Amino acid sequence: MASVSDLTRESSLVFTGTVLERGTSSVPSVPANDNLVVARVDRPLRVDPALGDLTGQRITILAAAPHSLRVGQQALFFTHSWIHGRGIAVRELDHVEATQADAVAQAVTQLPQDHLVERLRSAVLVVDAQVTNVGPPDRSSRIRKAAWWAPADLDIKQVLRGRQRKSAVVYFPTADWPPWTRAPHFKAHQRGIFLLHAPREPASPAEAAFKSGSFVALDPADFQPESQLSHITKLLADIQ
Amino acid sequence: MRIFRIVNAVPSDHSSETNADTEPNIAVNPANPREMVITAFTPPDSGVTNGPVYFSSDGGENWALRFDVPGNGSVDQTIGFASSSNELYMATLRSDNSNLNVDRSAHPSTGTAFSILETRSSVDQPWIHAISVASGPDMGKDRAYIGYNDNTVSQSATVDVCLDALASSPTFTQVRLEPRSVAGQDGFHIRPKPHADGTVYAGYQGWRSTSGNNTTMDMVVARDDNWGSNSFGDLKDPGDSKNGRIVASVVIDEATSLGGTRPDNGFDLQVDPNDSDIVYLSWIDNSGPNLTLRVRRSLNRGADWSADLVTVDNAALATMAINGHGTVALAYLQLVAGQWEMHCRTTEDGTTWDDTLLARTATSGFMGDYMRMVAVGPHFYGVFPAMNTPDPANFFPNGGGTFRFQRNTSGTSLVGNDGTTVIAVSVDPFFFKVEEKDLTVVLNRNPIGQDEVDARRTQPRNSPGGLPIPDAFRVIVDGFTAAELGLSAPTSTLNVPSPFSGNALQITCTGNVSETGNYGGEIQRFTFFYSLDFDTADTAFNFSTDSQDVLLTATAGAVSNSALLTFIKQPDPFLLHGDPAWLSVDLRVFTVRPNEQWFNATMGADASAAPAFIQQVMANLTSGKGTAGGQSFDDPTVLSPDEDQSKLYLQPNDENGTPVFNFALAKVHYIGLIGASKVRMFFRLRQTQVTYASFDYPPGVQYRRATSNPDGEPIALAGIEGGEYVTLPCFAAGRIDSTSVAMDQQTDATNIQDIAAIGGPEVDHFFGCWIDINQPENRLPVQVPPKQDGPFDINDPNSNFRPVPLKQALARNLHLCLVAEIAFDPAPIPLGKDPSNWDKLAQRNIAWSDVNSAQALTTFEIRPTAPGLPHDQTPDELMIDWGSTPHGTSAQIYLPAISVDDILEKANRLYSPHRLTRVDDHTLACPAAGVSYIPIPPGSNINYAGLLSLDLPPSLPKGHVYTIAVRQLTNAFGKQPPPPPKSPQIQVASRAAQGRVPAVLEWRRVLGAFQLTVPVKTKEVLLLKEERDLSVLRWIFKAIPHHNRWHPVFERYLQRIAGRVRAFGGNPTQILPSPTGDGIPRPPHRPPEPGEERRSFTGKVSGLIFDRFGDFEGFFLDTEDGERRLFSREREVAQLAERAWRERLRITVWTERDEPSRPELIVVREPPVPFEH
Repeated sequence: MASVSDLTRESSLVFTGTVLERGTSSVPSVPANDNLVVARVDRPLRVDPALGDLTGQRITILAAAPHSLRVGQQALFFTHSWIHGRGIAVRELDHVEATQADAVAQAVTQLPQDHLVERLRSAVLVVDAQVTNVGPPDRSSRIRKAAWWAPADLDIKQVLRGRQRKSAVVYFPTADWPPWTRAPHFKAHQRGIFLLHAPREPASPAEAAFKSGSFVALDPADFQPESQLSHITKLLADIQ
Repeated sequence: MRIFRIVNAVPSDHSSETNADTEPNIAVNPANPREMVITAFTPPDSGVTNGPVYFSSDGGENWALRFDVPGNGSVDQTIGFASSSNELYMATLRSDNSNLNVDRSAHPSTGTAFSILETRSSVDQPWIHAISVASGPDMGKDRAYIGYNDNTVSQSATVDVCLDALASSPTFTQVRLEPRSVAGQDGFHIRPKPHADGTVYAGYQGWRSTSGNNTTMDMVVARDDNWGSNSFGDLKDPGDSKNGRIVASVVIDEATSLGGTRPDNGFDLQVDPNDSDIVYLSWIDNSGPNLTLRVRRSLNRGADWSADLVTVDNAALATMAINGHGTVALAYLQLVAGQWEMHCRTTEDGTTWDDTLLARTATSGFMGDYMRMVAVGPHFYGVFPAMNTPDPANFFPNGGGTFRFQRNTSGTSLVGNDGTTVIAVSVDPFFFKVEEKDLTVVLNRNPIGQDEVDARRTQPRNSPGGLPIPDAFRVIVDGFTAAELGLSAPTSTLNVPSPFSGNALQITCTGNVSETGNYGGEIQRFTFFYSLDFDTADTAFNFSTDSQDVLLTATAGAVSNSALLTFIKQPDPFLLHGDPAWLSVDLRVFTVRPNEQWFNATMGADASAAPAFIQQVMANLTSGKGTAGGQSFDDPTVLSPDEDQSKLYLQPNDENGTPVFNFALAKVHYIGLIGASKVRMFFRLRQTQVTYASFDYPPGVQYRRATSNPDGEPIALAGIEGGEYVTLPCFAAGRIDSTSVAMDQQTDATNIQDIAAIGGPEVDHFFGCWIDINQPENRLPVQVPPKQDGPFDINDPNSNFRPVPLKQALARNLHLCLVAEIAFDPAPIPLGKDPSNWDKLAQRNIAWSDVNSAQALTTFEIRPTAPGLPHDQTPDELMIDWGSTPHGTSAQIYLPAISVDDILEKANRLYSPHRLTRVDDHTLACPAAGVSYIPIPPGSNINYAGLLSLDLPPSLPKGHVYTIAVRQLTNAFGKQPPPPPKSPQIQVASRAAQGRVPAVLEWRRVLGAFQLTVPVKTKEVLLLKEERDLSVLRWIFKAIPHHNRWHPVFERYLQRIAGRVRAFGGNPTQILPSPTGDGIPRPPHRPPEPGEERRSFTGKVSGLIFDRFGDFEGFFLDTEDGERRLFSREREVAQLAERAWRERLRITVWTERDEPSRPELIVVREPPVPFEH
């Protein structure tokens, strides 16, 4: 059995709930069957913001082990989203005693930091820097999924991880289509912590045109506000 | 009726989302159009590894997200259902590794993720189409075609072809489309489009050169005629003979932006589902000053292309679809005054486009590289991206449709899942559908007379002729699935409310027939049947005028339609409608042999006695109040509608050689206090069964009459249409000799009667005629001469103007329609009324065709749709009820004056599915099951002659009888009656009651109808009759001019009758034309024995006889007593006669004494020379 922390990370919808019915469905597009249970959400622990507050809502669960759940039972469910629309249906990865809710809640709050740590570990260079200039995006690529990379020149105030240097060039996608829409977009005079990663290999034609020794920033976590400097410094110390 | 609907597809559970859900795509399951899927740039929920699709299982009214697409979300994604397998296929670029996956899913609501069928790397802009093979050895297999740019090669336009996508491990074969050099790569969009016949088109953009941001490119269409197995090499460009026809060369500036969306996003290719020759191509270029959308068309499989059929400036994301009617829809965004306008335009001819504005919304940067619209049956379904401000003014700004948001809204704001937090606007996918749904009310019985209701009330309920009135009207609903109408079986109903309160008029739906014969998920056409019942107080007839219209309104889904049903009272002499209407209960026919006694009258020995006989029968029945000599007119055992007892003879003698005479009787009812004087009855025979018997006097075409005969009375004349006689009057008096006297000199005194009232109760009078169609006298030409009513010259230089026996002049079927008309001056028959809807007309419009293992046949006549019918009106249709015809029966309809392609083109446009298929240029086929609808093309005022034939399955049980009813439907119009009065009981509107301008109603009415009855009998019973029929019909055929409309019909009719003779065990080649029907062989073929009545002639063949078509007909034999003429159509006789003629052989010909022209035996007297073989 996976650990609770692993289950928390792998699940998209985590909640404690009380089983209301077995073999039924609360979602019109999901026909009732023996593998389903309907539960009331008692305490949402990890929920996509698009779904809002689910407290008190009925959720249909495609149970991993239906016979292990009885009506009236309270449990902590680790699930994946399945159907959203006129009700919510989820696929269960596992469930544990509801008493572990506080621990899981803590694990959920830790998820963004876990992700930040992963980005810090994979970064070649982490710097406290200011954008001095943003170059025009390269739109020469005829590939429809092109990132339309733009270069940002960084005036480095402090190197937090990696080889010491005074400046760097970071390329970021400016295209507003997937998969680039969540990447950070930099502007001149922007100041903060930059988690700089090496360009991917093999490089696309556009990436091959990057200035030598330049970096890329793709993940929303690859830029952190200046206020996070001490926190990131501590995290970097922890992962050294 | 076209119904527009928009639904914001983001479910309410995601009301808090603010994603840019752009670049939408859609798929609709053809096998269940209520099931559909949308994709967009909607990301997976945080923590979810599978990307979402939107899906609906209720026709797009409600949408949910399903997280089942591997890849942590998708970059590009397109989807498509196969035609019949219920399988959804998807081509998606994964977000996690950018690889192309081809996925498959059995059903959107299954609990399993999509399975990955194929993976490709370094591709861009995949576009998928799937189709199920409908016939042939691969029937049931799914084909999948994925067009994309393969970035690993420069000539990058590629289609992945999978010929069995249902296989557990399907094989995908990459086909490179581009044979020409390119500027770096091909364009972004590759659009494969398969057709059910195995044709697969693929459109792509061949990049030829670049200059700065400008790319010059060819719009290319490639074609493969074998499901993609021919490497798309079946369409060459005439310029360089390479694969792929270059439709146009254009320039696109990649640096331009329209409302934040990049250019080159309107490339699409569609093929007409009814005709793979017809293909449309669209694209957007800036060869001019603007980004311009263009649509072009090829009508010859991509070989030649039109100029721009339509252009739209500042357009983006164009998509096309062609529905089952052949209607082309074009949807696109257009930037107008800084806002996106979403348009949906359609055309039926490619040149005239309508335009519906679906939405007008704000711009919001990138909207994607495509959107999509698809067609299933008659409907269009699409999805477009738009800012989601829930302002009603944004949707259908010009009206014409309805819209719905799933996500939470408050006024013109979005609110989140908590119902209060205002959510920022963003781009959502908006589902739209354009449904073609129709509801037609067909009045089968109109008007309804109080007399009929009262008469029916005297009969047992639910019996033929009793109440309720069965099949009084029908409702035809098209464009729906069974589920949408709540139907699951033929017993399922669609309620039509009564316009009356209480029980005055009770309307009962008695069931339905589905076009496909089942109640699955397909869009189709349903026909509902309704009976009418009345309360005993006749409340429905409680009005003071002679007639009153009531409004029937039927509703299915969002579609409704109405018709006016007329109720009439009955102060005048009248005939009762039949039940069914083409078999009037007051018009009967019967046959009489010499010296037989009927209704206390005795037939004389020969034809001269016929007038006196029928006149005596009429008098006896009238004086006996319907009964005479112990026989009742109403007794079906006396005057039966059954064939064996009521069959009319075209031959003068029956099968036993006994003379036979045909008669008709009509019973006229009168209810009143005054009485009716000079009630006249006109009887008319038609050429065959007809669906058009509308009253047309004055001036009279079918119902011609002379205004004054020697008695000073009007008299019926032969009807004339298109230079031929189409109706023949029959009389109780003897027919005048039209070779010496004009037909307007005919008198018929006993068919003019005074009906005296008896204080109110019903009085019945009987009228009648001798149907002398089987008599031998020359009375009427086959073609109308200048003296159209005679007298006719038997020596007229034009042989077609010479009088011939009546059956040669008129009969074009074994069974002829008979119409009786009450000509009562105070109550003239309105123009356009017909025997089914007017009580002074009655008809007997029924044919029989016995079967065993042969085809059932009847000729018929239908009226063309009126020329110049407005585009928005439905043409006339044949509505054929196949009744209980056994499963497996197929029908053919031969209409030599009509192009079958015209009919099919109209059927494709009118009906969701239909089962009509082409046999040849003028012959249609369809399964004989349920109800078939056949649109009738427009034509002149000459009716179409046709032949209906049925191939029934073998081994039918003897004694079974099948009936087929053929109705012609036409448009009817009326003005909507005002709302019902508020008075208490009867909520019936009176049309004249209020001065309000009424709305025009349109419905369908039955113009006319006939029935084909098919009894199953044994071969032995059928053979002799069939041989006699073939003999007399062949004789009739000899008189039909080659140019006459009946000639091709009759020719095929005779071929089929000959086939029946063969099927019954006879030899049709031995049957000679004969006016008596006796041109049939007399076995055994042997020399006459002493004492037999045979004669012989010996001589030499002096000439060979051929008919006007060059067919051998006989020969002249030069004997000692002179030249004799001998007839035979046998090929062997022809060979022998020719040889004897050529070699001067002496022969002896034996004949029956009573048929001295028909050889029974031929003996060659000279030593034979070896015959050639």
